[in-house]
Parts: sequence; C-alpha cells; structure tokens
Amino acid sequence: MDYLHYPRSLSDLIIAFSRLPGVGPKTAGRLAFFLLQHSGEAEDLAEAIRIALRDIRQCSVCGNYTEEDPCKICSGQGRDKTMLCVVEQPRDVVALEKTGEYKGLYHVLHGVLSPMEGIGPEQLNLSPIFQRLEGIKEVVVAVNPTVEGEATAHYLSKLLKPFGLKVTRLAHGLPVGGDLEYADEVTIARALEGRRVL
Amino acid sequence: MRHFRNYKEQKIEFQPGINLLVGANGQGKTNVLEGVYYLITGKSYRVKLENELIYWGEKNFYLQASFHASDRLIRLESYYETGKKVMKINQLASKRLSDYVGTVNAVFFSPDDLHIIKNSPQERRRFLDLLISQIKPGHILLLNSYLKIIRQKNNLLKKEKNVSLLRSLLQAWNEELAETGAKIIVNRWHFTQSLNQYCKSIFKSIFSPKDDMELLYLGLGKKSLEESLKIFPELLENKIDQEIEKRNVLIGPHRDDLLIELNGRSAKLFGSQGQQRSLVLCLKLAEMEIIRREKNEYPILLLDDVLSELDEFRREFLLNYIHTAGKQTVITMTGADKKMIHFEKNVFQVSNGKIWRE
Repeated sequence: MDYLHYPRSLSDLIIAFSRLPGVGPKTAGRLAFFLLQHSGEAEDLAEAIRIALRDIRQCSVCGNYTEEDPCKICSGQGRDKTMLCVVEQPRDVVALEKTGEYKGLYHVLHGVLSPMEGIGPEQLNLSPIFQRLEGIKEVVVAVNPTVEGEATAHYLSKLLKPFGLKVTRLAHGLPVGGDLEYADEVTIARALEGRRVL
Repeated sequence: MRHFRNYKEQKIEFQPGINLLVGANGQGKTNVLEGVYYLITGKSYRVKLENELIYWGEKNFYLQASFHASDRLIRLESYYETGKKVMKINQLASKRLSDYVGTVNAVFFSPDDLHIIKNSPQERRRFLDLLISQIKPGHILLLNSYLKIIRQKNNLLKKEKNVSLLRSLLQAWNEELAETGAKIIVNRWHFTQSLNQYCKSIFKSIFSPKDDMELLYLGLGKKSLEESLKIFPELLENKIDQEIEKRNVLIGPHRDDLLIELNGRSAKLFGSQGQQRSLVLCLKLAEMEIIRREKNEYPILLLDDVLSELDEFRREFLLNYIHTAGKQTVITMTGADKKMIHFEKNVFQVSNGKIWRE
C-alpha cells in the first residue's frame, strides 16, 4: 500500500479515514492531504468530532442519540404517549420524523438479530422496551424488510403478545411516485399480496 | 468468444435448424455449448468459479452473441475478470442476475443429466429451480432469501447456548422460514405438475404402452400441496427439540425431493440405465415444452454428446422432435456419429480451439 511510504502520523490518518463506511483507500488519502493543506478546516473537524463525542449520548429511555437525557421526543409535550415505534437505527427516527405523520414515541434497537454476526437479543437495546409498555396501546414495528429485520419483528411480536397490545408492522409495497417497472419481483409480489379494494 | 476456455478468439455463426460441432475429444466442442449457456444463464453448469473459464495465462474472458428471440434481435454480452462480472442485454448492464436470466432461453442436455435421476435430491431441486427461474425470475430472489434464513438459523443453533432463549429465537426465524419456504414449495409444486403432464405425453411415444410414469414433488415429505403447506409451521415447531440436539436445521424445502416413478416404483432405485436415460430425455423435452408454453417459442437446444448414448429408436424420436419443432439446435459429436443425422444440417469442425464451417 502507498501510504506505508508516508510519514507514520500521515499513514495513521489515512488508515483511520479508510475505516469509515464508504471511504476507500484513495478517498482516504485525498481527505488526509486536504486536511494537511487546510489546517483551519482540520481544527474545526477535530473540534466538531470531540464535541459530538462528548455531548451526544444514547437517551436512557428510547436509545436515540441526544444531547439531553431523556431526549426531546421522550420528554416532549404533544407526543402521543400511547404509541411506540420500534426502529433499527437513530437514522430511522429522523426518516419517520421528517414525514410529520407520526406523533408517538420511539424505541431504537441499534441493530437487528443476526446470528452470523453474533448479534442476539442481548446485543440489542431490546429488553428495555418492556419497562416502557405502561400506557402504550400500540407498538409499530418499523424495522427494515430484510431477512434479519423480519426475524426481529417476529421475535418482538411474540414477546409483546402477552401484554395484550396491538402490534403492527409497516406495510410492504411499491415506492410512491416510482415506476412499477423499476421495482424488483419480490417487491411487486408483496405489493400484489397486500393489494386493497378500491 | 475471447479468452474463453481453450478459445483465444473465435467467431461462429450458427444456422437455423440443426448445427453440428464435430471433432475428436478434448478439442473444445463442449466449451462452445458452455459459452452459449453461460451467456444465457449467467452461470456455468460445469464449474462454480469463473476463473476456471479463462483461457490459460489470460486475466479475463469476454462472450458476445446475438439471438433472434421474441421476434427481435437480442445481443447478450458478458465480461469477466477476477472479482468483476458484467452482463449486458443490448448494451445495457444488468444489475442483478434475476434481471438477466430468461431474456433468451436454452435447454442443455448432456450425459451428466443422468444425475438428475441417479444422484441426491439436491440435483433434482437444482433442475426444478433452474427451470422455474427462467420463467419466474423472482424465484431466484426467493431462493437467496431462503438460503440466508437457513444460514442465520444454523449459526443460531451452533452459537446460542441458552436453551430457552434459543427456543424463542428459533420460533422467530421459523416464522420467517415458513413464509419464504412456502412460496418456494408452491412454485416447485406447480412446475412439477406441468412437467409431469408434458413428461407423460412424451413418455407414451418412447416407452411401451404398458409402461407408466409419474413425477411427484415431495414437499416436506408430503405429496399434496395443501398438506405440505398446512403441516409446515407445525412441523417446524415439532422439530425444534431435535434441531437443538443436533445443532442443525433439519426441516424445510432445502431438503425436499422430486420423486420420479416408473411403473409405480422409484426410477432411481429400480430403473435400468436405459430407462433412466429415456426418462431424462422426457424431462428435458418437457422442460422445452414448458418454456415454449410460457414464452411462446422454443428455447435453443444444446445437446452435448447425447445422441450416441441413446438407442436408435429414441435417437430417431429426438431428432424427429427437433426437426418438427424446427428449433435451433447445437449438437456436439465425434466425426463417426455424423451419419446418424439424415436431416439437413450445418457442420462445423472443431480442432484444438479453432472452428470452421464445413
């Protein structure tokens, strides 16, 4: 690898960048050289990372990233405290919030079941859900429609069953505004299964 | 073909009707069929790793062919180098294999297809799944999801030591397995029905009138679809203890079988070599008929060295069938067998990685 020819601290920086998702060795090198040439930006970045690491933590109630604990959603007025939406990642909370359609509470699992990667229920933020069920009438399971997501949803719904709640799953179907011809066969087949009377 | 198998660079223009690739053993006849098959299905039927398809000492191979199919000209291309595979339809790259498979169809038939009858259930599932995938590309995606579920479940069985947790996790994966598995069973069951219907009518022409055959899909060991689907969730639940004990997934369509019966008995166990060969011929021709029914035209037929394996009566039947269907066929054979074919034919000589028309 080229970066082994660089000074030690520079190659360390390149290696650190290339560990980030979506960054290959070439891009990592470009980023490192850019920062060396623009020390102002480099300082700002270092500071921003330091502050984010210091101030952002997981909400002790829902597991979402937050600066204050409990987070704004958990402590917020005007949220529907009878609904709880379970998602995989903090990013998914943002996606749902952007819709403005959902006014309930969230619970972030920080992953899904995947025995191949050694992820079981204990590795997820899962058991705290059961301390939050008082007053909840409906749990919406909004994990991704992957093989692992579906298994996680099945597992969760089985554990929730004894509580006598309404447990729902997001619908599978076609992307709105998209073309039928661009959807894959499984998506179309699922959409057909879930068709509605007009 | 460029840098494919023992071909450095070769162009060949097959004609409508019967095409013969004639040459001694080891000259590269089968490699041509493999090239056509690879272009059409995105896979080799002989090797798992594409590296083995590259001309000795080269780093990549390239295949291209133009087909007349569905009333138009379709150009398929594939390029492979280690870690990079590009498949194109009319110069547009296909993102997924399921977009590509089924554009042009072919049925490949070689003496090795006797494995469908003689070998393990895996061969019969593969035969069925390949046929289904050509017609319903979504079947490939289902199989991929199913495989992933099985892998996850196996990992779970091997890694999780807490038995009560393991049990409830298994139930969650089983629900997922039952849903995807049921769709696979339904597809395989329906295609077995169609295969059976066509096989029976072909069978009548090449076996004696007192003989009889039957194809049955054994979904979870059951012969009827309703029964298989009904017992599936229950069976999964009942097997949990045994699975925990064996630390292995024990039930699901990945262990199903296609039962091929001759006169009410398993053709695998009781059929003679000759009967088994003729049954494979029935299966292959039934495959052609199903593709014709679904696509409204016959697939290309690739026959690798099979004519010499059949007795004269069945060989004549096959040749007559090809001739009547009028479908393009490519047949490999050694020079001495050429006289077997008295229909009009186009002969290509194959020698040491070079092909020329006679």
